[in-house]
Amino acid sequence: MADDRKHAGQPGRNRPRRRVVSVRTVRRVVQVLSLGLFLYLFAVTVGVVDPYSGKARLVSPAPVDLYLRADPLIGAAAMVSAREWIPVLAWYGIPVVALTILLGRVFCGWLCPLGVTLDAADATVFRRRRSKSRTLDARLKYYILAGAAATAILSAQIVYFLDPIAILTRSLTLAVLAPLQMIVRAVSPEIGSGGLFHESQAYYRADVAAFVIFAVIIGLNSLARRFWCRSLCPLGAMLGLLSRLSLLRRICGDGCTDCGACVRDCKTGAIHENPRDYSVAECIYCYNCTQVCPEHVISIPVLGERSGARRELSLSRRRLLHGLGAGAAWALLARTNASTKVARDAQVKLSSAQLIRPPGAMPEQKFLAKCIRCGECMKVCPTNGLQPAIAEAGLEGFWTPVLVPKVGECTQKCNLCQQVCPTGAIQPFSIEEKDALYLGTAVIDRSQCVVWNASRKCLVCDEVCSYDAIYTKSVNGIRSPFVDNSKCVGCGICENNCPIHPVSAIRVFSFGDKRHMSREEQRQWQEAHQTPD
Amino acid sequence: MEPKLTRREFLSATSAAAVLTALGGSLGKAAQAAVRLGAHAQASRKLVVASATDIRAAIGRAFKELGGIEKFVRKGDKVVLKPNAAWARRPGQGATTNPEVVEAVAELCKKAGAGRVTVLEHLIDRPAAVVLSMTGISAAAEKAGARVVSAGDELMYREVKLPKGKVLRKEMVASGILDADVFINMPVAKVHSQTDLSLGMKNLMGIIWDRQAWHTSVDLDQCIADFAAAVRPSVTILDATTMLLTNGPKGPGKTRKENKLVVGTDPVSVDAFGATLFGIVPADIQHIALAHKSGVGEIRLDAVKVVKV
Repeated sequence: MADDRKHAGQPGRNRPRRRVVSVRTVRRVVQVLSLGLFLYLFAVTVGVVDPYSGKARLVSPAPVDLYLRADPLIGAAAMVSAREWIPVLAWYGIPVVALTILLGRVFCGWLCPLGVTLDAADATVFRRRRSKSRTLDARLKYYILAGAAATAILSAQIVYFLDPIAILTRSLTLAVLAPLQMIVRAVSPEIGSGGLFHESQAYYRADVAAFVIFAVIIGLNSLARRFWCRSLCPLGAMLGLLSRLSLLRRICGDGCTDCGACVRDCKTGAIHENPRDYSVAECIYCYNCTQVCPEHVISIPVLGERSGARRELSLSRRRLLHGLGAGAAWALLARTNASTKVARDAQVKLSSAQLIRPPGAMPEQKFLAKCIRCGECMKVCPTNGLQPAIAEAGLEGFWTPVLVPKVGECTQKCNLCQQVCPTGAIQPFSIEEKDALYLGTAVIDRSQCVVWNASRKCLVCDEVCSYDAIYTKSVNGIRSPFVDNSKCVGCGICENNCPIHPVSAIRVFSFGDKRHMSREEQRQWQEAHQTPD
Repeated sequence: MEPKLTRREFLSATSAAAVLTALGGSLGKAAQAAVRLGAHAQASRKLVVASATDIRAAIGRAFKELGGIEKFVRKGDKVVLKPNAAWARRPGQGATTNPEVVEAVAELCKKAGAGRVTVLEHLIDRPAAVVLSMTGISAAAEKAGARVVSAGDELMYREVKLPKGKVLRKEMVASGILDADVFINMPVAKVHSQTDLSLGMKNLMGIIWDRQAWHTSVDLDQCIADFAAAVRPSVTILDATTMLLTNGPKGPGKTRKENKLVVGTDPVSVDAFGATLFGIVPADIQHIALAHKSGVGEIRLDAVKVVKV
């Protein structure tokens, strides 16, 4: 019996493998299930009508932003950046942190949907590739993490650009969804409209940029397996820092012949030149080495003795400072960027900016700190009106959601966007409360309006306004439209239906955006400004 | 050496043939469209005004007076109902057609042996599911065994030429209407900011793709009249159960429970009678007057047999 215990961690000693299914196989199954779950949650980020209340709700009761909530990097960055405790991110993120402390970077190896995507790309597209891996130093991701930490502390937000879950969600929304819908519609218009797709063909801005970034991340795998994970991913770095006490320890048994097969096969380059040693912070527990070893001497049990775990990170202090410095530089540049200043001022001053935030959005400063540009609200918006900002919100607001009324208005009886925002950049609101949320104000461009400049019988804006905010007066015998600023909430349905193209004759501008007021204050303002019919 | 047919030649020849066939087919269909609609409509001078406190009974009586539903719907016919369901408003607000009327008509058509009953509308408010639920239309259709089509995609429209149009010469019309055997127009009686009233002929704007074009054209009212001349419903049922008196066409505004249904095959007469319910002289409504002038129907109510049931 004592003998058995002594050899417990060394299956290669003429001991038949008891397990029929290897841990590597289990890992692969779990990976497929995880990616499947991620894609399922993404697909059901769609609104349907609740037959009982007649209101729009998500088609599935599951939290569709589950992975975003559980991502500890997003949680940490959003909370530090906004200086606010965000309960939902904490409660979902803590289990992942606990998992990593206990078992190491199993999230990276078993659960991360981007990781699964990269593995799938490795197994298919990059199957026959480079004979020698060309990698970047694995420590680079820690310097990147340092940069992300610096920006978070300075309340700028860079994590959106670097977090794998945010990248994957956003890339699917901006670069995959609409083209996929176009292909499906070409085959069958019925299947390609409605259901899990938008009612009509969806369109997104910044689709090319999102696609390129996504393609580059996947394409880097042509240089080395899991290039992103090993060298660039700040989430991997964060989990690596937490993983040093992992209970899972890789053991290389006595029969090792130094053939180096495991070293070459290791997805993250965690195994050292001496194959008995490995970096704990780099290992993602894929169990590949256990299968690829010709002598079958490798195992990764819980609490194995005589493991070759190496816990040092050997980060260069100079490079860390570089990372911090780069992050700080970015934060300072972003916050002194003039366009951002204009965007921030847009709320409290009479602004001719066309920066319309989703309803329920926090005031601009907080919004920019909390929004991780995940794209969930852009996906769920039923009119396709929420789009990534390009220049409207300045440098810091790049790819945050803005309403583009010409693409889609903010429809009155809907509160889907706040249901899917993982960080609370869009605060919860009910459909009743929505009528007192002011996004901006519509302004008629009389030089373009065909009633004003050509005496045509249009008044479509008046027709479609849900808030009775357009009134008409006879001007030189022609019934002409005017906007009632106290009633107009800036939903943009007028701009969306105005027949003038490509720029409508009635457009929503930022002034009148009342995000700096509390909900109660907005309601009181609305009541105080009721004009009699 | 025999000349061989290259693969390229074969592919281009077959695809050209396919394209031509499709084009020819759709052109032929478009030409027939204006003729086929209302194919078994009756040229009747009768206008039925039903007292509609009990809607189902009122519909029954109205159709009996017009010769029975069998005169309009034959066994196996594809029936399309076009209510006004464009806005996210509740029944009783007068902005959309009363769903009970839709349900009653759909049921009656099914009883007459209709092959399929479709409720079709080109919505303005979004998302479609919210609008159709809020207006009660999707529930009504489900109860009556009809399906609902929200024609929100350009792919669902076909071009129709209007050779007799004074302003409107062609239009993209919903294929669901063009392919139907029976087209029943079911407007709601309400005021309208541009055309003063929105009744049956105005309701036809809900079967075209680009409404905006009419608003920016030289004459919106003439467009309505031109289109009414080309597209004739088999029968028009004007829902005046609850009328919207102010803030039309979307409301909310003042309403009046009139509890009437105006049913007829002459679109101009139906609209003319509808105007009188608002206390307006029919000839004062531009598009009704223009439609009468184009010969779409009769505007003078003394030249029409008004039957109250």
